[in-house]
Amino acid sequence: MTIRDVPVAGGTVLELGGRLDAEAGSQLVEQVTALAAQGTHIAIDMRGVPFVNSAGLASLITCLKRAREKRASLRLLSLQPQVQEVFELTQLSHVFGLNQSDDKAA
Amino acid sequence: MNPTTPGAGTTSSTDTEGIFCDAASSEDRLRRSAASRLALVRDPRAVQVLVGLLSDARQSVQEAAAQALRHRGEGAVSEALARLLGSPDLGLRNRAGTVLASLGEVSVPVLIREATAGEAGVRKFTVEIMGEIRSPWVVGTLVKALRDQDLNVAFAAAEALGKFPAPEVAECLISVFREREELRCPLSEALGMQADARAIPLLVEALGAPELLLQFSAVNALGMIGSPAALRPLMDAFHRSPEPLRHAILQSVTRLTEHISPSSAELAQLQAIIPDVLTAAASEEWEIRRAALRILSLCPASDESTAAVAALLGDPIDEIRQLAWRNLERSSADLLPALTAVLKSGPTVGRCLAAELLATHFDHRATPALREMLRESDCRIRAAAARALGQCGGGESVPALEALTADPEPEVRQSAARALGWMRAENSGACLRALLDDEAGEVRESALGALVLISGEQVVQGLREDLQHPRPERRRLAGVALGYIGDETVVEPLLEALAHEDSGIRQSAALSLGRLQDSRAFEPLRARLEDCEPGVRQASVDALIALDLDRAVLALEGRLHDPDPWVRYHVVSALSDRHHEAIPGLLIRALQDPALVVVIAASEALGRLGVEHSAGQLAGLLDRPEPELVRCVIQSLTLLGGEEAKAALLRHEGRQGPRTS
Repeated sequence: MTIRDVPVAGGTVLELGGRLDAEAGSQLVEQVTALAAQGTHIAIDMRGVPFVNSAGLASLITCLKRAREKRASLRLLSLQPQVQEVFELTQLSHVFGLNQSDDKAA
Repeated sequence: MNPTTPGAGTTSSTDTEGIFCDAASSEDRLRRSAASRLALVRDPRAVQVLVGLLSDARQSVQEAAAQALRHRGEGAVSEALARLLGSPDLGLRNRAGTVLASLGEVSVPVLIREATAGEAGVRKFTVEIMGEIRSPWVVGTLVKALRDQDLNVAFAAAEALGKFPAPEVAECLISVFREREELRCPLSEALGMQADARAIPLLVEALGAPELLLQFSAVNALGMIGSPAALRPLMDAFHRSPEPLRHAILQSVTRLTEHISPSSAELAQLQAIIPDVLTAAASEEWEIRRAALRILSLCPASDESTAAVAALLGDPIDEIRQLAWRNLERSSADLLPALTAVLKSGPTVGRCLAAELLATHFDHRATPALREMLRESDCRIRAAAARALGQCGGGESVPALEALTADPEPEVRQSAARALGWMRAENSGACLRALLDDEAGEVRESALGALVLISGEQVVQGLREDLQHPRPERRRLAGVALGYIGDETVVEPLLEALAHEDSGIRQSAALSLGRLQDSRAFEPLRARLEDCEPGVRQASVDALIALDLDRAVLALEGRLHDPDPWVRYHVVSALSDRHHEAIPGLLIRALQDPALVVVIAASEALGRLGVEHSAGQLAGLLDRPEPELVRCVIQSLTLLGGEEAKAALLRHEGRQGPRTS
C-alpha cells in the first residue's frame, strides 16, 4: 500500500494505492493521527484501493475517531464499487456519512 | 429585425419615400420592416413617423419602432418622446418612457424640463424615468422634487434618490424626513439604500411610530444600513411588535449581523441582544424561530445558545430541525450538556437526533444517558440510542446492546447488531451469529456486517462452524461473512467451504478466494472447474483469473469444452478484457464453438483486442446465416482494419450490396 500526502487548501488529501489490510491500516492510522494532532482536515482518496478487509475497515474507524477527537474532519473519497459494497454491508457508509444528504433532520 | 440590416423584407422599398409608404402600409410586415429601416434614415420626418409607430396596433411594430428610436438616439427623439409623457394612452406613455430611459443622458434636458414644468402626472412619471437613468445631472432636480407640492411626485423622487448613494443626497433625505411626515415611508427606504449611518437615529425613532408601514420601512432600512448600533433598538421593537413585523425585524438583525466580524468591537453589541434572540428562538411562530436560528448561527456559541439550538432539534418543522442540526454540527462548543438535556425529554425526533449528533462526535461522556434511553418504550428511541452507543460507547455498553438483540422490534435488533459491529465487540460473535437466523432480512444483514467488522479468530471459528449449520441461509451468510473478512484467518475455512455439499457455499467461497488473492487457493479452485454446478465453475473461472492470470489461462483452456454453453461464454467474456499472449489463440478457438453466444462473444473480443491475425477466421463467419453474428463480425473486422479484414468486408459487400452502418 502506498500513501501519498497531498496538501491542499484547508487540509490534506491522503491518496491510497493498493489493498487496505492490517499492515497498511496501521500505517494509515499513524499518518492520520499525526495530521489530526495538527487539527488538519483530512480527505482519504480511495480510488486506488481495490480491496479492503476487516482489519482495513477497523483502521478507518480508528482514523475517524482520532480525527474527531481532535475536532478535525475526515472524509472518504472515490470508493471503488467493490469497496463501497463492503461499506454498505457493514453500514459504515452511515458512520462515514457517505450517503448523507443535506436533509439530515428531515 | 436588426436596424442595421437594410431591406430585410423581400418586397419592401429601399428609398426613403418608399420606406415612409411602407410605414403607412396596411401590411404588418411592411410597417415592421419600415420601422427597422427608419433607424438609419436621415430625413428628420423619420422621428415623427417612428413615434407614430409606437402606437401601432401590432406589438412587433411598436417594438421595432422603439428599437429604431433608441438606435437613432438624437435629441430630436427625446423631444418627440417627451410630448408623449402626458398621453392618456398609458401603454404608449410607458413605451415612450422606456425609450427615454434607455437613451440615458441625451434625455436629461427634456426630463428636467418636464419634471419642473409638466402637470403632476407627467412630473411623477418623469421623476421615475430619472431614477432609471441614474445620471448625476438629475440629482438636483430629484432633490427639488422631494418638496413638490404633489405627494406622488415627492414619493417618486424619494424612491429615485435611494438609487443615488452619496452623502449630500443622504443629507437632503434626512432633512426632508424631518420636514415631511407624510413622506417618511419612502424616505426610510431611500435612506436604507443610501446606507448612511447618520440616518439611524431618525429610523430608530420611526420604529416607534404608530404607522405599521413606516415601522416596516424603518426596520428594513436599519437592516440595509448594517450598523450594530441598530441591534438593541431593533430587538426592543421586537418585543412590542406584531408577528409580521417581528419577522422583518429578525431578518434585518440577521442582515446586519452578517457584517459583524467575530473579532471586532461590535461583537459586544451583538452579544447584548443574544438573550432577546434566545427568546425569539422559543417563539410560537416558526418563521421567527427560523430567523432566530440564523442569527444564532452567526454568533459565537454560549451554553445558553447551544441549549436553545439543541431544543430545536425536536421542532415540528423539518427546516428548523435541519438548521439546528447544521448549527450544532459546526459548533465549537461542548455539546454534551445541551444534547444530554434533549436526550432526556422532549419530542422523539429531537431525542433521536441528539443521540445521532453525539454519536458523530464519538463522545464517550454521553454513554450513561444513551444507555438510559435503551429502556424507553418508544422503539425509535431505543434504536437511535443503540446506534449512538455503537459510536460513543465503550465495552461497558456491550451487555446492554447484546440484550437488545432480543428486542421484539426488528429496527432495534438491527441497530443493536450494527452497534456491536461498529464497537468491534469481540465477544459478541455468538450473539450476532444467532441473528443470522433472524426472521427479518435487515437484521440478518446487519448481523452479517457486524461479524465482518469484528472478525478475529473467535468469529471466524464460529462462522466456520456455521458453514455446517442445518439452515441454508445461515450457511450462506457465514460463507459470505468469511469472504468479506478477507484476512489470513479465513483462507482455511474458505478452502474447506470450496468442498461444501451446498453449491451456494462453494460458489461464494470461490468468489471470496478470488478476492483474497492467496496462492494456496489456486489448485483447489482449479479443481472446482470440474464442479457439477455451472455456477461454481463460473465463480472458479473468475477467481482463478483474479488470482494468477498466467496460470489461469492455461487452466481455462479445457473450460472451452465445458458442457454448459454459459460457462464457455463466461470464460470467453472473462478473458476478453485481459491481456495475455495466449488469450487470442483461445478466442480464435472459441469461434468454432457450437453455441452462438460463445461465438459472438469471441468475435467481439477479437475485434476489441485488435487480434489482426484472426481476420481470416472472422471472415469465414460472414457466410453464417445468423444476422446478429454477421453484424458483430463486420464490426470486429472494421475495428481490425488490416488488408485481410478490408478485403473480407469488400467481398461481403459485393455479395450483399452496400452495408448500412
